[in-house]
Amino acid sequence: MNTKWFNFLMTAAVLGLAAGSWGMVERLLYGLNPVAFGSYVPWGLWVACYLLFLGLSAGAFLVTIMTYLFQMKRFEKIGRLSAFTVLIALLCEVLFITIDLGRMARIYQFLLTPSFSSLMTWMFVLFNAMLILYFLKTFFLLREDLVQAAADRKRRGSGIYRILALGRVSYSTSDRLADEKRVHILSIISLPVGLLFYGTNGAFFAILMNRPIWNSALTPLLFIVAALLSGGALITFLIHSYMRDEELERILGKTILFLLVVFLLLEGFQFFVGYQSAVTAVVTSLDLVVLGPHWWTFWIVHLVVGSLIPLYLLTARRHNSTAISWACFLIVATFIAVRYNFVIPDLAVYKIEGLEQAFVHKRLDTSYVPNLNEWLVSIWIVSLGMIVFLAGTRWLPVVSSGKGGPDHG
Amino acid sequence: MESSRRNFMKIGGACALGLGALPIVKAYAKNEKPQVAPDSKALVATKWAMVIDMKKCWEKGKPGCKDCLLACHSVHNVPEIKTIKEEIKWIWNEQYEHAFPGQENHFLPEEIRQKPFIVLCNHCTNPPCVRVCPTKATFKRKDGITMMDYHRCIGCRYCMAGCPYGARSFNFRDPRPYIQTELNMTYPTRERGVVEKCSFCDERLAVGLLPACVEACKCGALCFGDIEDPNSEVRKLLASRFTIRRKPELGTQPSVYYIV
Repeated sequence: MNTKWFNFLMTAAVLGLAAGSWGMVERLLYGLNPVAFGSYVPWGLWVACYLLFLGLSAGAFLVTIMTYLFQMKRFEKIGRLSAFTVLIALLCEVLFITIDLGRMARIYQFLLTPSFSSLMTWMFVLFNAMLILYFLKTFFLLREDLVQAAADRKRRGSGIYRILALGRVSYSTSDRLADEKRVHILSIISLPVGLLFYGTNGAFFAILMNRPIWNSALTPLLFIVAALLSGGALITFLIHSYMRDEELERILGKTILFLLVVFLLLEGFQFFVGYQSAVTAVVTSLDLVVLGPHWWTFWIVHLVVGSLIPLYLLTARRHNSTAISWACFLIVATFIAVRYNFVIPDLAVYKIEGLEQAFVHKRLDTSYVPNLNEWLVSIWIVSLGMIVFLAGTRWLPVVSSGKGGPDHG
Repeated sequence: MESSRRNFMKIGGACALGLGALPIVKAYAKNEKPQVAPDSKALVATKWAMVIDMKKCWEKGKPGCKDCLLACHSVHNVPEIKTIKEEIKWIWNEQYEHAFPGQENHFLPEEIRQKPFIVLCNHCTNPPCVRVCPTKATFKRKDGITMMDYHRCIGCRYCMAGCPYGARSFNFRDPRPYIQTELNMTYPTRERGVVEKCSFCDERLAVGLLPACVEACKCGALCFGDIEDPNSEVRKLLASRFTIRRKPELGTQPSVYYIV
């Protein structure tokens, strides 16, 4: 990424952080009072954003597994960037879900009185495991370069590098071998933890028997594919932005195309089975997606901009890395519509199964449109994530060609 | 010197870890037995249940009667918030088609279509809200009551997404300024950011009183008792009258039965 783009994005992120601060202050002062969701649609934009960032971390997670567990040399160039991307996506994710809690300060209750019958407890456990694993993995991957930067007294900010390297100023060959081994062990652990983590998030919704679309064995599978699609698109876009490896981008482009087709097929099955079975609750929920007040988010944002145009670019322009990058950018940028259309409609049909007149029942106002406060808080979190990510890729040894493999030294 | 400093760090770290873990150990090791002896007048049951005779409610009750609703909301300091999406309700009225979706048809008597049904938490035998609550803020008592500990609730609202009956309300704002009735000083008010719902008046049962809604109903449409006791009034009603429950297809096994 050149300086011009870096400055532009950093400025945008700082402005976003400043603008979003108003919403964040309101959220912290008044709790969930300023939000648009209510007792009948109890989750809103922040849960959709949580799911978006969950997915965005998945593609990078897969790359780190291929690099450090299966030792696929082709991906080692982007290993560090991927580990760092997972870390930042997880941090944004936790901010979104924490901000959505009615009593944030009571998060310690997960430790005091955990209920292991709840998938939310397992999400908490697995999320923290992922965060620790990727924090350590990123640290051990970067440590050699951090120590070198810390040892270079002439370098600006060497003191900061010294803190990041935990005071170390020397790094021997045996240290390198030990760190490589640590990264490998962490990767072995992170494979089952990650798979459980991404699967659990789908099951979290699938087990709610009163929700017509969520309550399906297809949901966890759809979640995993959605996560790999959006996350894979993000990492492909980042490769194009940071290191331009045309061959790698073409390989990933093919993978994204495959995932996009599988995702659309699964989504198609969901609609086909739902409409064919004609269960009123399911039909009502699906109708809300395709004909409801936010129909355009499904047809225009998700299907046209986020699927058909990328499909065209990934097939007709499959040899052009810029076109692949654009396709991936469009998938990532529009994926919030997929998450939004997953979360909201099923909550809106809570007990209006097939009763069209119920849409006007005074207590069953199911219309939900995120308000300014929700958007401002979302902008604040995304901006913060962007600042940390951009700063990391600029000043940390995250992007370094020829480094980052299992033998990253 | 180096060695002693290392040892010091080790011992210090172990102490800090031990002290940090103390509250967790305490929470796990605590004695679950009640610390206070129960009131000798307390009403006890193997499994509490309620039978609501809607026919009696419509025929014997005065038109538009809301005695049960008002009594419950007054006793439990339930706020009256006018914004529909933020309203708090423990017991409320619902039309048949909303209370019993899937059990309606076009040929139902007009009376059933139009008249209000009293609905509340069903205190299900297989409650989805208990299963999904991550912090045991919602839990099942041995006597069948699905209880809430407001101090454990983190406000994640997973229970609201999981409850098929919409029986749970979230306090989007501080509810205390919205309490319209005289404050009941013997029952705790809630705070912003927690979920609340009907508790089958566990606090009244503990001192030998029937639930407030049951006591307030002058026509005796609400019957409350031990479903495991063959001689209880609820068992007699269930044995003699045809009853229905809300959303039986979900397998939650509600403890609230309706005579229609």
